[in-house]
Amino acid sequence: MNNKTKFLFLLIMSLLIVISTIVFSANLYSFGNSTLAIVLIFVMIAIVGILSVFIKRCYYDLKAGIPGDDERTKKVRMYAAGYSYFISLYVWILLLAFHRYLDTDDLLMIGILGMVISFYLSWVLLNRKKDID
Amino acid sequence: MKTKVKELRVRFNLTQEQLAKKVGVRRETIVFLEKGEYNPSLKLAAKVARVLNSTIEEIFIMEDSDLE
Repeated sequence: MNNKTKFLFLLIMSLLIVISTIVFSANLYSFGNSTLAIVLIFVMIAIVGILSVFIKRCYYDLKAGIPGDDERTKKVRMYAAGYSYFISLYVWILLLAFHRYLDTDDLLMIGILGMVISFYLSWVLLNRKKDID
Repeated sequence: MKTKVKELRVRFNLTQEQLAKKVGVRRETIVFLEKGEYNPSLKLAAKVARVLNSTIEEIFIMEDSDLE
């Protein structure tokens, strides 16, 4: 994915998240569930906040004509995927051990969230690491 | 690994961003290369050497301990 496509994709994703959360929260609010509506708005702000970091980075790269990916970033991503795969296995084992206390929906949501967080953390840590061969 | 990337870049009056653009990598990769904290592929090493008008051996100095 080149920089321009990545930038547009992230921008459209952020806009869709903002619009859909506002519509969904407004519906929840009209049905009297204002607490959940406020929680959703805060979650949306957090997600869009994280996305804005990537959008900003993409925009500067696009402006400077620097590629978004190079051999080092590809290596980092590959290693992060490998690490997060193993972490995810343990997350799923842990979740299966406690499956009696969780609904199926919650189990899947926590599992997938665990996979996403483990990948993101692995990526952040490996991106700062020296000597990635 | 020792490198002469920074020395040569300064000699050619290039910023890290300019070198990154010429080589086709991100600026962070140039930072890691200058510190000797990233072993580039042969292709990237050749690109850096070509931009800095030098040879791979002159820019990237591998010591015995690096090869162990």
